[in-house]
Amino acid sequence: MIGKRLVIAIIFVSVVFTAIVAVGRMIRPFSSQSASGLGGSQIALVYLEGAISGGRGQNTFLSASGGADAVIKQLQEARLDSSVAAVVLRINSPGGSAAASQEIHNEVLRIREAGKPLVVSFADVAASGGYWIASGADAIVANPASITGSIGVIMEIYNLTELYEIMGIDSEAIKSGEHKDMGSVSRPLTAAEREIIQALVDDIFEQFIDVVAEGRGLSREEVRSLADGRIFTGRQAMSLGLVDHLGDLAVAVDLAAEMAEIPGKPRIKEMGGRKSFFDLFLNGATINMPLPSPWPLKSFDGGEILPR
Amino acid sequence: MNQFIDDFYDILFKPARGVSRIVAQRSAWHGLLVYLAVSLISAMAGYVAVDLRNVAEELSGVMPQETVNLLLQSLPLLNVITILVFSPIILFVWSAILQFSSELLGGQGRGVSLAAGVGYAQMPYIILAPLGLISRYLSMDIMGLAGFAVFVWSFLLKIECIRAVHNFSKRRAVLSYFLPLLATVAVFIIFFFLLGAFLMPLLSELFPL
Repeated sequence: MIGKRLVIAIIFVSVVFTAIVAVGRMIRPFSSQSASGLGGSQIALVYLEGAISGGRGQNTFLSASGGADAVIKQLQEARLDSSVAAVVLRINSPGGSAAASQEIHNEVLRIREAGKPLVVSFADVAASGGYWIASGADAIVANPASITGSIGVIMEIYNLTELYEIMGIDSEAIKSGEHKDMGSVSRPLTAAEREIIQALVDDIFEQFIDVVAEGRGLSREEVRSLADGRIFTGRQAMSLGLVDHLGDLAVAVDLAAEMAEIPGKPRIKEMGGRKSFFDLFLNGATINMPLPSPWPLKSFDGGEILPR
Repeated sequence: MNQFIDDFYDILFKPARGVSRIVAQRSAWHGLLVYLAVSLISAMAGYVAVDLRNVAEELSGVMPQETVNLLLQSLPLLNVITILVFSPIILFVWSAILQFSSELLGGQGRGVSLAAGVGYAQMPYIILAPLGLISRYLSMDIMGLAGFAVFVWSFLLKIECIRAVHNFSKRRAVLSYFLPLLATVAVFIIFFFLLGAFLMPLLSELFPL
């Protein structure tokens, strides 16, 4: 009987407490906000995590592959949202497709053209394509131990002819032009094809150099001297001019608030929506799917980083 | 008071005993009262769990901020009115449909007993109140999962009610519960099949091969 009464009491108390909270919300729907509800400016927080690839990405049962479109869409929403005064892009990516990085970088530039400051925060790693994107920001904040750099382009082509021979597989290409099966795994590259691919890699590399030089205010020669593909720690990158500040996400948020001249505590609008239990269960990590932190993150001056 | 605590506890944690007592001893009005109370509490839990700032952000694009604030403040009141008006209709119509399908399957129990049972079977939704409070402090949305779990719990109680009122086996009680849905699906399939049969000659005239 005591257990029974205890269960009933717990439920009854929680119902009463819920009623009190509900009445409180009716009276003041935005208790932590200004009197006008959404008054004041917000900082949009966009996550870019994992290898960068183009397209929308694909979700299947218990797995997911990322696509740049989700990040671009969230950056566009942040640009068009009148309640957003600045954007923080949190990058945790080793890089990926050059074209996809270019698309995200273009959207970064559009945000700046719209007059909204954009600050990039590096998590564990923001290398190669991740740095390509970051170089377009107003400011880059990295942890002293974050890994960055890897400014360069790589294209790997496999030659599996010997493996095919062992396995008894024979393939034949019927093609419309000499180079149509260039890069095929069933034959080695010819000297002419190697030249074509090298020219392609060089061209993308030159584009990368241009983007970094322009974004970071460095000369092409300065960038080229750092662009042999090596990686740097956040601290090394700062001494080389590849990063502006050392610090974590909260530092980046405060910097964005300062650049946007947001008075008081900045409110963070996490783009991409609140993840449900089913999202976490059914989808793996994607380019744009951070796992939620258990508690709201606080910026240095007390502003809350809340899921959208 | 003890009677209420027993009903409350048994329907949630000792369903077989609780349901058989409720369908035998409680009236349809008791069922309605419980149904209304639980609907109001679960609506309140939903209002507490949702982040109003996000709702406001969405709405602020289509209406002035003052209107959004007023709307959000009056939302619970509108919810209460909707529940008070529509809940009795939903409970009694739903019970009537279940009673009809049960009688079609040979049930001989009373509809008012079933209405009492269906009302009490809504009781698990009361658990959403504490969960709604917890959900406010989690970055993960647990209300979807909780809602599903409670829905299954409540569904099992309704099956138990049908079984107790009509002396059905569990299999027959499940069939009785789903019979209206199956009949509706069958009617739609037949409708679209007939529609297709009538329209096919017309289509071939409109788009000759």
